[in-house]
Amino acid sequence: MNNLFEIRDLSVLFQIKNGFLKRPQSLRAVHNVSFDIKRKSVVGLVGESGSGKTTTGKAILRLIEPTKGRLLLNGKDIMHKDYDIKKLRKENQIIFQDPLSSLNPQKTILQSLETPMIIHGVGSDGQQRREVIQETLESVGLRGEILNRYPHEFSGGQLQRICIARTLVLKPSFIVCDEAIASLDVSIQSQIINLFKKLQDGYNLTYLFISHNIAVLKYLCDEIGVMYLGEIVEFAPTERLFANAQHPYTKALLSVIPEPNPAGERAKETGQELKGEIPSPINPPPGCAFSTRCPYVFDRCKVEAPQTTTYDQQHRVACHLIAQD
Amino acid sequence: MGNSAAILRVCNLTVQFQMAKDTVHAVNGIDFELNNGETLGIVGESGSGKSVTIKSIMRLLPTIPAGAIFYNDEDLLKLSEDRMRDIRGKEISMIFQNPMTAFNPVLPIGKQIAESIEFHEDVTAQERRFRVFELLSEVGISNPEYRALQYPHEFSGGMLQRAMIASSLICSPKIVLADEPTTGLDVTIQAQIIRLIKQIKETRQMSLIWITHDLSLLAGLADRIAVMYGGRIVEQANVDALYERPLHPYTQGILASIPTLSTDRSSLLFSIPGLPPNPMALPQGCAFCERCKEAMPICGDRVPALKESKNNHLVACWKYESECGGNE
Repeated sequence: MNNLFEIRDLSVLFQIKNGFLKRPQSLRAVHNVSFDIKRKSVVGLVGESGSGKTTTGKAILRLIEPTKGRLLLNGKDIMHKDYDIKKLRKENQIIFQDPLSSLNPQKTILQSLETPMIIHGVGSDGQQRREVIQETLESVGLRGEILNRYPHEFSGGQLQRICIARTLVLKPSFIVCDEAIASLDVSIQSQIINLFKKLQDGYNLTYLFISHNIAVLKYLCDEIGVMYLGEIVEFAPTERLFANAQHPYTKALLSVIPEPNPAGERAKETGQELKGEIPSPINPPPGCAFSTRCPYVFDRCKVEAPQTTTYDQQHRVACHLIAQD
Repeated sequence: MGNSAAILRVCNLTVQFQMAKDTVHAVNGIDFELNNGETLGIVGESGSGKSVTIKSIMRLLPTIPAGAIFYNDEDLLKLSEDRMRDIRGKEISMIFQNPMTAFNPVLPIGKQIAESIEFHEDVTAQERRFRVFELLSEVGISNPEYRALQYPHEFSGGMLQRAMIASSLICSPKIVLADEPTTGLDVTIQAQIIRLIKQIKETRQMSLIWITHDLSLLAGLADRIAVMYGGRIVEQANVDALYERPLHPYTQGILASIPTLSTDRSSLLFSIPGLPPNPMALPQGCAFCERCKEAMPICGDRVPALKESKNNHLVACWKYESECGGNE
C-alpha cells in the first residue's frame, strides 16, 4: 500500500451564531476535499487566509471533527467509532505556527516533552524517557542541558525546535506542519527547513506542509494542492504544477511571488495581479468559488461549480476552462 | 535619478532603552540619507533595530535618541513637541504594520482618516469629508461614502491596510515611513498593496522608507537598500548591486538561504548557523562575528565602520578594510 492517508470528500462546516433570535448560519470552511498522501512524501497545501488549509490539516487529525467525508489511514477509516483515537494521536502529530503559544509557559521543557510520553506509555521509567528526550533534542540541534528551563528563555527558532522535538519523542509517522516556519526570522527559517528535511530521512516521516510561502513549498514538497475558499482547485506533483499550472488562480498566485531579483521583478507585468479579495465562506458564490475574481470568467462559471477533472496523470484541476477542452 | 538631494539625513543615531538591570542597545550609531523621491528599503531581522530607527524619525519612542535627524535643515530630535506635532502626519507620516491595532476600534474609519486634516489644516467639515472620500477611492476602496462610516472590524485586512495608507496620505506628506505594511497580508493582497503604494508614490512624488524582513519583496520596490544587523547598518547599496554582488557575509548568507522558485530540491538550503545577537548583550566586536564563516581575530575585538567599497556601495566588514582604503 502506497498511500498513508486517503482523504475523500472531506467537508467541514462551522455553525455561526449571530445572536439570540437570529438563525445560525453555516460557514463552509472545507468543501469536498479529496487527495492522497503517499508514504514518506511531503504534500503541501497553499492558499490565502480563509482558504481552509489549516482546517483541512486539523480535520485530517480529527482535531476538528469533519462534517462529512472519509479519512483512511493505512486503509482504515479513522472516522469509524471503533478506531483507537489515542493511537491516532500518537502516530500523527501537528506543529503550529507560533511555538511560544504552543508550549505551556509554566512547565519546563522536560515536563512539556515528557507529558506526551507518559500519556502514550513511551519509555518504562523516567530515566529511560529522559534518555529519549536527550537524544531527540540533539537530533533537532539542541543541547540536553536546556531541560529544566522555561519557554520564555528561548528564541523563536529554538522554541520551534523544541516543538518539533516534542512531536518526535512519540516516534510519529505523520506530521502536519501548519505554517511552522512563518513566524521565524529569515536567517532561522532556512535552518528549520533544513531540519525538516533531515528529520524526514532520519525518522521516516510523512509531512503535510501548510504554508502561504510557495517557494518554501516548492523546495520541500513532492505534491502541492492549491486551495481556494475551502476547495482544492488544483493538485499536482510539484514540478508539474510549476511548469504547467492550469487553474487561473494558481497562475495568479505563482505570478505574484516576489523573487530576490530586481531586474526580474521590474520586468514583471504590472496589472496582472488578482483584483478583489477572497469571498466570505458564509455566503460562497454560486458556481465556481473563484468566479468573482477570475479574469477568464464566463457565464457557466457563475451558475455551475466545476467538477474536478484529471488534466493528465496525477494532475487534477477544477475549472470549466479545462473541462471544456 | 535627477534630483538626488537628501530630504532626510540621519546622523549617528543611537537609541538605548534602560531596563531594570540591563540596557537594550537597539540602534548603535547609524548614518543614512533619504533622497528626494527615493524608496529606501531597510531590511533586518527582529531585534535588528529597523523599527526603532523609523520610530526615532517620528519621535514615537519614550526617550529622545542621541544623534541627529535632519529634515530640511531642522534637527527633528531637537524640536519642541509642538513643532514635532506639526510635522507628524503633515510632513512625515507613517504606515503601521498592523492596521487592526493601529486604528481605534470605536471610531468610524472616515473620522480617523480625517483627524490629520482636522489637526493640520483649517478647512470646513464638508471639504474634509470630500477629501476623505476622494482619497478612499484613490486607494481602491469602492463606495467610499458608505465605507467611511464603517468601523475597523467591518473591514478586511487588505481593505484596512488601504484605509491605513489613506490616513497616512491625507495631508500629502513629503516622506512616508512604512513599517512592514504587508506582513500578515496574503500574497495576492500584498501584490495589490505594493502596486498601490508604488503608484501613489509616483503621482505624489513622495519619498518612502520601507521596512521589512523580506529581501524578495524589496527587489521590485526599493531604489536603495540598507541592511541592518545588531542595531547597525552593515551594508548599503543600490538595489541591483546589493542583489548581484552582496559584500557583507550576512547579506550574502541571507540571500543564499532564501528558497526561490529555482532552488535545487535535492540539496539542503544554505543556512547561517547560530542565532541573531541579543541587543542586551551585544558582542564587543562585529555583531555578526559569531555566525560568520570568514571571521578574523580583529572581528571579535572591534566593530568595523561602514565605508564605501565602490560606487556608493557601503559595507561594514573587516574583510574589505584594505580595499576600502581605510588607514586605521
